[in-house]
Amino acid sequence: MPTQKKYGFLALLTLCVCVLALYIYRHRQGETGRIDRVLISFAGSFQKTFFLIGKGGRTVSDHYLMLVGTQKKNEFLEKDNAFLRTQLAALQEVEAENLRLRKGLEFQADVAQTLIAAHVVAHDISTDYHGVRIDRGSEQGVAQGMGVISPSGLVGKILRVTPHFSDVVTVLDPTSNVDIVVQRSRVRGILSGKAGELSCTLKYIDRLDDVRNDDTVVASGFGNVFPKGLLVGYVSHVTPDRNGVIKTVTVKTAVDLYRLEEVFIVVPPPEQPKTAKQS
Amino acid sequence: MSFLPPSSQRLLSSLNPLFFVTAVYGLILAKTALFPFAPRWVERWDLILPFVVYYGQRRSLPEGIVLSLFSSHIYSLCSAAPLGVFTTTYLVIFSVARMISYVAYASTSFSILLLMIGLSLTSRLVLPLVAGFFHPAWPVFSFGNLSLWSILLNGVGGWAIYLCLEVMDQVTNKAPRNSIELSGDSL
Repeated sequence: MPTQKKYGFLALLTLCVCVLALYIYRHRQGETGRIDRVLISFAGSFQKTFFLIGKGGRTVSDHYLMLVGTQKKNEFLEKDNAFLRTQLAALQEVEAENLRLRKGLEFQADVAQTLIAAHVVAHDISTDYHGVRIDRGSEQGVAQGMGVISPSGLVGKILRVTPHFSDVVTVLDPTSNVDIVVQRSRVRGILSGKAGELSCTLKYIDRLDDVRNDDTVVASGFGNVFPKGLLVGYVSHVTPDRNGVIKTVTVKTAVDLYRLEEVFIVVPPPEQPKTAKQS
Repeated sequence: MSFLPPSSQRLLSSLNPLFFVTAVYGLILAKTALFPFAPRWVERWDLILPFVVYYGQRRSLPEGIVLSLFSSHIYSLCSAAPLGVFTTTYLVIFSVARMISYVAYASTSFSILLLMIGLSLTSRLVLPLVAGFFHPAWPVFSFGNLSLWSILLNGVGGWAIYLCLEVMDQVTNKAPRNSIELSGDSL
């Protein structure tokens, strides 16, 4: 490479690194600029149309070309089963809660949370990250950090918001962290996704903690992001760590995030104004 | 397009970057909205990689950088990854493709295929490092990052897209970078 060309290349590359650093600094914590909002809105409207076309194509292929009738029945049964599982998990959660209350804990009534219904319009472009785009944005009351759920269980959190579309980071994403409770033993942990995999890991589980295969994992309700006791998934694998201090627990999510079409955004209850004045 | 008058040919040539950006945008929309309904084996296809490699090999440096940054930014906006992960990764890929072009300018089908396979492997090595920098919990040294299927798919699929981009340049009368450089007027 001639020297002049080499210096030109290095100068441009240095400039790029500086621009990149400023760009990353500007976009930290999911902030979106005006241009980004325009790009996302523009993409979102096309994605919505494309997604509907794709959905239509799949419906035709599933219902008419593949198995006429059986597929429909199976879908219905699957939905019914998912609904019953959620109900069962919720009831078990209530039972466990009652038991704990009987033991003398103070009861606090759950605040009813408002839900906003939304459709999934696109999936993440990369297989290393797991996100979805939904057709509800700040104009419909969606804000960054709100919880996203579906009738089958927990989905994720709002990452980015534009006026008409929002991006959701799902529980399968390696950057996602959700506070959970193992329903049977009340062991608490943080659920995080695995890069390029369709399962999650429970972090910070002590080797003495009682976690077994097929245990139900539910949301702890901390931070008012997700309703307490909401089904998250089931423990699929428990292996002791090599050092013997912690356990590696793999969780399979209750929601099939690859066939997700409708979701609900959990609007947190309004903060109560502080009335008691400190003397 | 040689039947067009010279003024139209010049216009077509100047609109070439716009065609590239539109193609990137269209492919990104298709990947995010239509691929979820396609068989799972196509999901690992990285549609932007051949564009970035092409910019590195066939475009002038300023034009290539601007196109790479814009393409990777649109890509980032369609992912849950922290903004900056893909932009950094593709900038690195662009730089590698550019540096390779000074040594070996891929012009035959076989050399393009080798280049795409090599750079898809590079991208699988660079992405975990960049992702690990942005998010410390990322398993940087996991073998899962190096999926053979993903490398082959991106190598062969990228080769096909690369050839289409060459055709797009020919149709829009875009002069290749090496002939501009031989005339001694660019970086």
